[in-house]
Amino acid sequence: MKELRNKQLLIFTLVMLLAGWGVWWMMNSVFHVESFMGYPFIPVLFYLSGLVLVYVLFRVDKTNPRKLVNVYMLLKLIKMLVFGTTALIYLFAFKVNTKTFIVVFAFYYMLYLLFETYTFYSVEKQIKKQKA
Amino acid sequence: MLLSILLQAAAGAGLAKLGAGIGAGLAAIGAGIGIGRIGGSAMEGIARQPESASDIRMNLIIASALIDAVSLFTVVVCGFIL
Repeated sequence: MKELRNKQLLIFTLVMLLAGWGVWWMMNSVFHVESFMGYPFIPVLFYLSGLVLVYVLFRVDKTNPRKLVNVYMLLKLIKMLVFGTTALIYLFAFKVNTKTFIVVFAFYYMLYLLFETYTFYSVEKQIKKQKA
Repeated sequence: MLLSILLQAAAGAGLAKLGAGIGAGLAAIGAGIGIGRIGGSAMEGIARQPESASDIRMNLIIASALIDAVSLFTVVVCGFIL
């Protein structure tokens, strides 16, 4: 399990680094959109959320199936609350270009969703492997 | 002619914004109902058949991810209308 956790962390770090730099480059060079204030805060927030997800998921007792479902749903709820609140605060506090912000935030959200699903899937696969 | 007058009147009254707001609300309601049903059914399924908990969990995760993605997509579209 520890190797899987480290692998997940490595993949997520690389993906977020690439995405953070790639989105900034695309905004400035390809779409020529003014990169909005506080942009680095978005990838950092998603990265920290990913770290919390991985650490919580790999610490929970995996022998109890009900607890695992509860943890999945709880993590999803926390994710929605945190990201929803952050997006609202961001829009009101920084007065950024709304459309650019929505596209960038949605992109990171989708990326995080992919990573989250992949992590859950990997954990499930590992549990099955350990049981067999 | 009548249609264009109606469309102009609708644009003037800000009905597009109202539509976007209603759309976002409907997307949120749909996603909430979907995730709630998935979670409830998964818990019920696991309680009935604990031996198939792993398969149920996997399907739960994929289905909730799909709902999440669809609702986000809808909210983004509504955000663009605003």
